[in-house]
Amino acid sequence: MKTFNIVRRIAVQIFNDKRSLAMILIAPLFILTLIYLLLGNSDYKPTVAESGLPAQIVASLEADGLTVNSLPAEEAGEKLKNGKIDAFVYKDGNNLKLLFRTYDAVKTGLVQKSVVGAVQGLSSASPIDAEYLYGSSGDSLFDNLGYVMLGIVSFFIIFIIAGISFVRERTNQTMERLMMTPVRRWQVVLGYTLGFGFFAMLQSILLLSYGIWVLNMTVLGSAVTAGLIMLLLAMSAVCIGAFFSIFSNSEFQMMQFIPVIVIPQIFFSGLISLDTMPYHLGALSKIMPVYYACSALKTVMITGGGIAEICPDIAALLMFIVIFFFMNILALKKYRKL
Amino acid sequence: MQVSLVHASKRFNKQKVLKDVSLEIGNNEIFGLIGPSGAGKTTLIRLIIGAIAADEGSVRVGNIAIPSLEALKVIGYMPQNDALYGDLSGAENLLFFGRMYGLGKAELRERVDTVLKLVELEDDCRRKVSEYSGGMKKRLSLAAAMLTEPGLLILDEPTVGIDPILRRKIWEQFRALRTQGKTIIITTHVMDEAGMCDRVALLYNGGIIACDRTDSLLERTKSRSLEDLFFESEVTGA
Repeated sequence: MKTFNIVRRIAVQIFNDKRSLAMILIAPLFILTLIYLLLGNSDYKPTVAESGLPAQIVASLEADGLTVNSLPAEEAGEKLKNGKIDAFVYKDGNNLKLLFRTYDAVKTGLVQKSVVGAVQGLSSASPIDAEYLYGSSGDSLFDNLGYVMLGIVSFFIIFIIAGISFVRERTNQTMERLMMTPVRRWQVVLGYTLGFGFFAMLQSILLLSYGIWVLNMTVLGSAVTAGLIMLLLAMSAVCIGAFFSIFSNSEFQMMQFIPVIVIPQIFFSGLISLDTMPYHLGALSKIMPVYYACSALKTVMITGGGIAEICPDIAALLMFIVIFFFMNILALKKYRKL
Repeated sequence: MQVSLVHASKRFNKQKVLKDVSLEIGNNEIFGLIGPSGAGKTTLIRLIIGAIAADEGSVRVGNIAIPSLEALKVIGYMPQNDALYGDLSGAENLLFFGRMYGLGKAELRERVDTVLKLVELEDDCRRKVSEYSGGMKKRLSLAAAMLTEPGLLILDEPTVGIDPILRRKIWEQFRALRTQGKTIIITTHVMDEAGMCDRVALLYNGGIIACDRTDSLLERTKSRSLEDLFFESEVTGA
């Protein structure tokens, strides 16, 4: 009952504080849209070099808006290395080869689409191979990395709001007053976790729904499972935010934790391949909740995995919640011995 | 509700902030704690309430050894700051704290109406607390402390920022609570307010240097007023 009373108070407070409500519900949509726009497609028209292509294909590429230069292979390779052209298209035996400098969602996608279109018009279609001077292939960056953004955005916002809320409770002495009522410490922490958890749930549902139905985010597995992962991540953000607020005497000091707690997790979220990190830095991801959440989201959304495949990640997220939950209960001893 | 401290001491980082404090505060008593800043008034209050535990000695409220969750059910506490939720209305704040004490719905409504009337906030109780003036916040904070009709009311600077007319009404309420057998402990810097207490204790440097009825205390120390006594203690340290 007392726990529910804290849940209700937090709900009323947040509904009364429109800015916090907007921060929880609207800001993630804005950030996700921004990332979608930054990593999505554009009306860019690529410049390519060709060697030995049938005139029909060259004409088709030009008709598609591409700038096509006929160059010897050596010169084309040099220009590609220097970034003067986006791709080099040439015949290798019966195959049609596309050579890119590196994988770029927009440029690679546009060239491939035009070449496939041009070849389809021919009676004798050649197989098409794509190669890269540097890097590897993939879909659009948003398709590939949208799940990472879901995790990061959700963790970041809940961490900050929960942390600042706790700092306010301490600086306004409302925490002191609350602890002078006959409430148990675990009831206070549970009330906070569930109170913010409710808004975290709203955020997860809204963010995922928007991603899937408005931004056409790929979800091969169950959207409900993806929502559950996001909820667990947000709950861990509440507990971690509340814990780090102990070391902050003001809202500003809480913000100072962003570069320490949030930003490093972005790098270990799957945005950068952990295997390629030097000095085995990838191992650091094991102490970061965003890593487990993004790993699970990737399994569900990109490879279509189910609960069974993400059990270790779910267990890790639950572990973060439980550890920080109990640390927060201990931290409240500062206000009351019992 | 009786309060008794027996040789209670408290250290923070090896520094003794309360030294061998013994005190008996009875039922039907309004007890004042006065002393300069840093004398240990707030620490003493936190010890009585159970926010901190004594390193030596003992503290009891009624028959309950402190710290105890059970004791918190019969203690009303008003901290020095307003300690209210600015995003909630005045009534919502009171309802929240009332529920934390486990008050039932009907009883809670009745108590909220009573204390709001007492601090003259009935007309503003639906407004957000962030829109309240300093004095209104102080009154609401006092209302929250009195909400459960506690046997022991501990008030840290309760009437600072409250106008004289309302202060008089609040003191009338304190006296009414005293006749009901309640105990009220007040820390104050306002000397005429300290003069209204049944007894006062003067704290200096973590110890009680004088504790008596106000008139007896003045007679004994040959001070003209509590203000003089307070000033002398700060200057001479005794």
